[in-house]
Amino acid sequence: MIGEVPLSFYLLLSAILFSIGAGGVLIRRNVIIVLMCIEMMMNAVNLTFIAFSRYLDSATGQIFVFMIMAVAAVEVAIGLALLVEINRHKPGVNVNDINSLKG
Amino acid sequence: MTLFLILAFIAVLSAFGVVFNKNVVHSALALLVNFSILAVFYFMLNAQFLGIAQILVYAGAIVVLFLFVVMLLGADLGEQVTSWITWQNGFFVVLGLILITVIGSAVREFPVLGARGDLSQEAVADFGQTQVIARALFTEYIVPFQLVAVLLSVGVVGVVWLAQHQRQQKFRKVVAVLDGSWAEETRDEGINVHRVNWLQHQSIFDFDWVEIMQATDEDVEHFAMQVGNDTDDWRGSRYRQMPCLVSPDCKLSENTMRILQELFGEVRIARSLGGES
Repeated sequence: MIGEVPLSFYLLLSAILFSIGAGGVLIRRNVIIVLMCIEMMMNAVNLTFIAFSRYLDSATGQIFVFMIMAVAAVEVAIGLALLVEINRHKPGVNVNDINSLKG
Repeated sequence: MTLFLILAFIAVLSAFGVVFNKNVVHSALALLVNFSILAVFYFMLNAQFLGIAQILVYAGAIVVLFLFVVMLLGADLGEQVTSWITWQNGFFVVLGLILITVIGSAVREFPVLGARGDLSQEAVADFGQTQVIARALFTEYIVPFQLVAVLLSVGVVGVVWLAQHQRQQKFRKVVAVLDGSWAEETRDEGINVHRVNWLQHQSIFDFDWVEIMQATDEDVEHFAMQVGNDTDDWRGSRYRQMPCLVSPDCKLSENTMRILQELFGEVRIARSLGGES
């Protein structure tokens, strides 16, 4: 038990959020929304880490989350920079249109 | 428990809001709600440091970054969603349900494992939770911590390089060429000069100067008419400063030359910029 909420509740919530994110990546064709869904999946994983960190009284889980946050911030910054760059050559944010590395 | 269920409900609802919103800005706002609720969960799980970091990094920086990009590119650029109910989406929903079943089947109440870490109630009461994290981060995990610093630096340099690279590309010169002997539409001279044959392009584009190599009066007049009718302010202000080169082989009538002189800053009889006249 964590306080009064069992660990499994946090894990289930995290699984649900992760699946919604994964479904969103498949369903949506807008690059910005796809990036948002990836962020959401990372957050679901973070929740799992922190729940286990609380459950096992260990700081390691929180260190992991710290690293994931840094990686997520860099990922989204570079992803969006690339998106803006691609947009100058070829307007539109539909992933189906972005199918060529050659400008 | 009630608080957890209410917050979990809002979190799931906002997650659906991110996916099934036709407006990208609304999706970003739903994402903000989702991140904030997760920050509350972190607080409930006694991870105050990460709760604050979550609000600062995700709700503060990342959502703002998304909103910036949406404003930069325009919110209407996305896909045109006519209906969510398609065979494809149904298949994806089934895939999502399978995923949730697979992950969910692994979830159970784990027995308390023997190993207790450094975040015990006594340590937290003694030092406070953030100090315990800091001690682990700056002693045991100092190398990953430094590597994160390297990663962030690489990220910053990479993004700046992307922007810089674009600026260099912008200084590439584009030349409008009127040459009937060309078979292709564009010709590159190294990476600096990009020649576009207007005779085949047949519409106006951004160019830095004009070269008329082999064209009839009719072609030139047609071209001049398009330039004259150009409503773009930025281009319109540049035509008056632009050189226009006319090849000596090209026999244009005086009337055509006068039209060109009215349009462009300088009309030269030459084969290339600064060449013979």
